[in-house]
Amino acid sequence: MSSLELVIILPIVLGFLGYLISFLRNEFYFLGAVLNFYYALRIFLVSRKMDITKRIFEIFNFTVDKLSGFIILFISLFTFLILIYSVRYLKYYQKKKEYFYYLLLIGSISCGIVLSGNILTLILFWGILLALIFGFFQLTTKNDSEYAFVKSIFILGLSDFLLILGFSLLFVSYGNIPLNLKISFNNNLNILSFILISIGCFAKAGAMPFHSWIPEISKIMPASTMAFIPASLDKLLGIYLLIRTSYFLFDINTNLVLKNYLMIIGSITILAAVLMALIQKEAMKLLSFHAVSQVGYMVLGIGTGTPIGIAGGLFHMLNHAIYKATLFLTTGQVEYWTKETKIEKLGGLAPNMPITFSSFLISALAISGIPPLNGFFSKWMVYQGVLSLYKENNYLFPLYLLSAMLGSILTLASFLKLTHSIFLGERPKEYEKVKEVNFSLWFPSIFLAFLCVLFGILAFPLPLKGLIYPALSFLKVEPFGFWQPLLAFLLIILGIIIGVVIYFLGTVKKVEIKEIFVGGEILEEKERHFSGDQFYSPVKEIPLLSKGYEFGEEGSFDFYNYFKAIFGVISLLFKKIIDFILEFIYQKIVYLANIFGILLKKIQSGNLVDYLVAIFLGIIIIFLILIL
Amino acid sequence: MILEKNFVNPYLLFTFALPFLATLIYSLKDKEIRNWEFYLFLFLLIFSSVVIILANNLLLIYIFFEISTLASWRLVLLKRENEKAGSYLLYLNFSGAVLMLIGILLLLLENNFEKITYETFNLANISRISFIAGILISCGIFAKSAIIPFYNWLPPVYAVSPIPVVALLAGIGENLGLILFYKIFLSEIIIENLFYNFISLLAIFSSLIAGGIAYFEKEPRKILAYSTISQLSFILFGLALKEEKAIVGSLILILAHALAKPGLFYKLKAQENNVSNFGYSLLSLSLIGIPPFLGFSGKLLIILGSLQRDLFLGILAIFSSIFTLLYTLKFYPLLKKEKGENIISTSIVYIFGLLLLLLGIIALIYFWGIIL
Repeated sequence: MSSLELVIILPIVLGFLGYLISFLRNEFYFLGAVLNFYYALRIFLVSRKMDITKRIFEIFNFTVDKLSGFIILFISLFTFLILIYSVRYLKYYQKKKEYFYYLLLIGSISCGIVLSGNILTLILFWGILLALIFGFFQLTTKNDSEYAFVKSIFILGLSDFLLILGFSLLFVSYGNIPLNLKISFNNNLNILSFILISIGCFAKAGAMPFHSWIPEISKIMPASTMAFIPASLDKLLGIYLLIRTSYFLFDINTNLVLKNYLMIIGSITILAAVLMALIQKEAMKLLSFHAVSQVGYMVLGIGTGTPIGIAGGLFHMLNHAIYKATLFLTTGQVEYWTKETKIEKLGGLAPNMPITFSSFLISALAISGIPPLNGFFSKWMVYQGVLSLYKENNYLFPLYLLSAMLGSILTLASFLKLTHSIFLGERPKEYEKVKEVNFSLWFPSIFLAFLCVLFGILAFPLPLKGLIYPALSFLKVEPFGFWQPLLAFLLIILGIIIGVVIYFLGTVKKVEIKEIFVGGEILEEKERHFSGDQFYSPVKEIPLLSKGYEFGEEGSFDFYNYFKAIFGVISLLFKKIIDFILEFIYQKIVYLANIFGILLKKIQSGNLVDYLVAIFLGIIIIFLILIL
Repeated sequence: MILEKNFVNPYLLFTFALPFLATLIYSLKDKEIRNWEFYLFLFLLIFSSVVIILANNLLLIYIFFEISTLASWRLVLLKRENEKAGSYLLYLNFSGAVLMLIGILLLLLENNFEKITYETFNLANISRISFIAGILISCGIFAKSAIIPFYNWLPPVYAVSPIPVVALLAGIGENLGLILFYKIFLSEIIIENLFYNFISLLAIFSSLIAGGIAYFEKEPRKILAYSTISQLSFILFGLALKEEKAIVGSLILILAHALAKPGLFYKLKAQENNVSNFGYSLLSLSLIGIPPFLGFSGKLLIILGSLQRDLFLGILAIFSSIFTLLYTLKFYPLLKKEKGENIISTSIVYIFGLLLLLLGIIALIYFWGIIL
């Protein structure tokens, strides 16, 4: 067996052993994740040199090229880091045995999706992943989880069904084709397949209007799940498949309408989700809305069809997986001690948890697009991609650019709120004894935060030259000199040094703390607690936006509600009209049959005269028939 | 090649074997139904089903078709208070059967069967069926398989009958209609295409409507009843499309349904633990039609066949599948909370779930390679 099979099979087998053998459980799970990573690394290194293809059972096919090589590396890396994190984080979780096994299974099956070389293999693994997610979301220990479970599985199930249908349509026309044929959009069926497949990708990645399962699932699952599925894994898979479909299976550059379709979805996702995120009062939910909003940049970048935009979209996917996973993990670290994710109850935890705070801060700055971190770099590339639409006479580009930039500003604003509310400001009394978390909890997040910095400063030599450009080798992306990350980094460091020097020169004096008097009374500490949850609440009162927020909070932008309502009405009509009418007719037939029976019974009176009359009438009728 | 008799007949017998075995084993433990009457009619049902599959004689098939109706009627009446539901079943099935008999007589007239002998009833002797005869014969099939508009008997029967009886009906009794349709109408017989178009349209609307009603209902047993109507109509739709892909899909779906639906009913009696819940998840996933479960192969083949035939039919089939997803997710939490004690039920749920997974993978590897 080669690494292509081992990367999938080994975690499954070792996980199963871990599931059975209780005293070596964590060791087996750990070994499974390590071997998964090891073989993924081997596949990645081989894919640098050449593409590999392998057939199994005649109809299945595994293929590795440079794109899938680097995606698989990151999938296994995230599986590994989140397993390390979860072992400690979910120490007292009721169903942790199953949880870890599912984690490994989902990781390995995702590798299978990325390795799929033809349609049938992809359909198979995509379906298995849905089945696994179906099981995984049931591991919640929270009460009243049914709504969230049903909603998320419905959205994922429906979109996966459409995706599979899209691939099956291609299957019927072209057979079990490999995923790099560059089919042109010369007939309507191909366009339909592309749209169906893209719906599957959108729901997986969380683009609007198929996003609403992510905030919903954040209510019932622990932080590690959020960091694993919506934050990293599903982004990698959804965007990977979108790129694979748009530029390998099809060639979207031949169809302007489809490109605009992607870009419009992207822009709307960026703006609408970030506006919703701005007013959230629960940390996990706020982060989930950002997990939706950021997908917009990726879809926008991919939709531009320009080399730099596509590379930017792909790079943004990678960056997003890194910093969003960090944000969820660090929020989980805070929750680990405080058992709280409502931001009004938190505050001032930075001195207690310095490592958690620093990784949170780095990733928050990265997602807000502050140079020189990685998030800035990829957004910058996406902007450039959108700008270069000018050359193609696509005059919608200012709108796309505006929504992307506005989204970035609002992201910064909402992360100012989150950082302030959790880590800065007044600390509530009950959290005074909060300590920094254990090594196995902070290691994954600080490692990922380090990647944020690394991929930002050394963006060009490391991720772009090493991963992104080779993966998109068909595009011929030119190196560009608009932005010198290293120089910017040095300048920023210089600025910080100057700031520190000024601080120590003594021009900034220590502040004096005085009691606060309001109406002649000293405020208690509790009342002095100034939480960030009311930040930006005036946004809700801006005339046009206020209606939007009203609708948003009612769930009017949630396609699931409409879908449910439409199908509910149809089912009501079926029940009340068709079922009722048919039942009515049936009852009437039974009634008539009964009457007929009663009539027959009445004729049988036992009276000789009656029978004679009947015989006589019968004879007359027979005679009449014979004569006529 | 797949649709040859030598292959299909054993396969259809196999679809009966598993629900039958499950019922037999279950009955050993359940005192309520363990009596001579149950076993008598159980074996009568199985015997008549086997004859229907293997026989090549229309008269013989018709007689045993009726015997199977009688057997299911008596099985429903094991609990004497189920009289109303039982009479629903009997009336509708016999009305269907009368129409069917008229259809068979018409068929005889059309084929110039001068002397009605035992041999002339042979299916191989039939060369053409008129539209009217086809529809009349189909009425009996509709009543048996509970296709709208002959479906009224099914919800009340499912609501009151003992679990193993319902499982038998869902797994064996109702499939007989579909099998008869396959045997009579899908061999070398000439019927105008209008007949198939009419039946497929009726079947897909039946599937859609029943799916809609299932989504409306609130009790697990009622949802399962309408879900059965929807699924069986969907299978009939696949058969009536008369495309090789869709027919194979329907035959696969017969097995998938014969495992999934009895399994879901046994979940009502199963213990609430990890084993039964795991099996239950697998059953639901197969019912929804997620790869690599068996339900997926069948459903997708039917949808592909219908899309090839006509875009409109394909879209209706897709809508029907969406309803399946909706109502399955609706009863999923409901049924999960059901608490029974029967350990055999638990294992049946588990084994059926695993079988659906295993057979699904085999179907995916084997059939997809051959057909497409």
